[in-house]
Amino acid sequence: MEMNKHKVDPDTQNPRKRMKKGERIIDKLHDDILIAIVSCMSLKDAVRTSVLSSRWRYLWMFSGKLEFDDRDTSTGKIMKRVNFKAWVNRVLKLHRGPQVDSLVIRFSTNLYYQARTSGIDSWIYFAMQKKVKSFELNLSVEKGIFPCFPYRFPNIKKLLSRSDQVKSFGFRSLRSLRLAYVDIEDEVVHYFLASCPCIEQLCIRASNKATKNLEIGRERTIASPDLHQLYSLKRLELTVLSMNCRSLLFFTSLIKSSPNLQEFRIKRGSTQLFPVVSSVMTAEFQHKNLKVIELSGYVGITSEDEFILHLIKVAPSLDVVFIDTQTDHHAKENYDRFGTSPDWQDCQLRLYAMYRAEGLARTCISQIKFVIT
Amino acid sequence: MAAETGTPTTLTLKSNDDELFSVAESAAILSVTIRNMVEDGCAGGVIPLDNVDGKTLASVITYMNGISAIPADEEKKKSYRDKFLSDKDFETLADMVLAANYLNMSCLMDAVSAKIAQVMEKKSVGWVRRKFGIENDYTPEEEAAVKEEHKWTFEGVETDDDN
Repeated sequence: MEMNKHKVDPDTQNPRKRMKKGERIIDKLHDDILIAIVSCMSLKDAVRTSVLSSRWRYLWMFSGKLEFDDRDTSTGKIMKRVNFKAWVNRVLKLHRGPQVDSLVIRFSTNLYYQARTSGIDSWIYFAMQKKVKSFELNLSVEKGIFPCFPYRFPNIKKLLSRSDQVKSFGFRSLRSLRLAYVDIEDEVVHYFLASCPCIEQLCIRASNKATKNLEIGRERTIASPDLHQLYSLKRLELTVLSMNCRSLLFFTSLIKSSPNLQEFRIKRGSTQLFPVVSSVMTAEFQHKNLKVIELSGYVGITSEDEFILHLIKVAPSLDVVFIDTQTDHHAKENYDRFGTSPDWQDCQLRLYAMYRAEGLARTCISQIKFVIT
Repeated sequence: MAAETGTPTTLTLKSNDDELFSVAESAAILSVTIRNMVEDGCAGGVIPLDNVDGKTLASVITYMNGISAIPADEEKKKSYRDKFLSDKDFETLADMVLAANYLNMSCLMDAVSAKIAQVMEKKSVGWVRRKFGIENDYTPEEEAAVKEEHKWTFEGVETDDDN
């Protein structure tokens, strides 16, 4: 909504007679209702309402929904990073409402300069201050490659120490957290799992460090004694881009700690092999609610099969196992380097993976449905 | 909830223009206001709803019955809500959002707010003023200043057609 474009109003030629009735009714709607309406709009539309009349001038500043995307969905045009940041900072500064239910910040960062994205810390602080219920921070990079110097999620203790208000409340109202292409420390994952009693959805996509940290976690036995029971968590989705993925153990402990979990999806980004995980080392427990598991990027190696078989054993409630043998660009780029046709290589690997997955499905005599793609 | 067992309990609701409506208790308690009355045992006789007129209350009851007949399926409920609101004009929507607010029915409140927001979406300021009967009380200078203040919001963002 470019204000300049509105100098000539096309509707002046449109004499509708509903105005009189409307005039009375809009005055009946008190500010809370108008704020509820404004909260349903895109930020662009919400801000524009300030021009309607003096009554509307500050209403958008109480909006419960703030969504920033550097890509215009209708045109596909991408905003300059500097402008985007200025935009976010300005809006967050102007916001006056005590709470924001949903804060979404999506912007594409440069592969090499993501580390320079200072200021993001203050956005996270804002999310805490405004007691967000749903928070998404998505710093996607072209082609889905993890950046060389990624933005690192701030130290949680430092963040909490910024004011007494956030210190006592933290992220306690959080129900949904989605982080993509954010380097996240073990400690931070821990914090979210342990300190957000309402968390229902946790999605950490393409976090380079995640796997490494989870791996460290295994050695420190991050498992159940440390983790609180996550009673609200129903859906857990993790994407891991890693050169050395040995975190399956951590995932079983996570599942163990989430008694009401119904869906668990894990996506692996690279074709690096899993080390073999002995089932003796995995957490022994019974899970009553897990219905769906999905393993994407399945390549057909023993540790993956063991992981799936282990979950089938501990969760009699399981209905469906999705196995997706599709791998990402990462693998394709590697093939390119070796000069073979990526499609051919990919095809061979997928055929093998599918063959393994079907074999796995046959060994399970239970009622569980396998969906292999 | 008072009587869940046996024959379905019916409540009588009275609008502020003295129209009476019968509605199943199971549907009526979508309104937290009514549910509280039922739980406090004040729903024996006629429940007066002083802030809702007959026309609006009839509409709200249609919604209550319709939505409570749909089993727990968020998709279906959403499409029912969309269809239910699709032919309502602004005046009706405004009455409904007031009623939903008074009756404390969050699902209807959210749906109607979203519907009104949708109508305003991507429209020019002039169109919205006209459609919603909003009186522009800015002086031309003030209006220009407010526009200027938020000009930055649109930098680098494509403009939408005003229609």
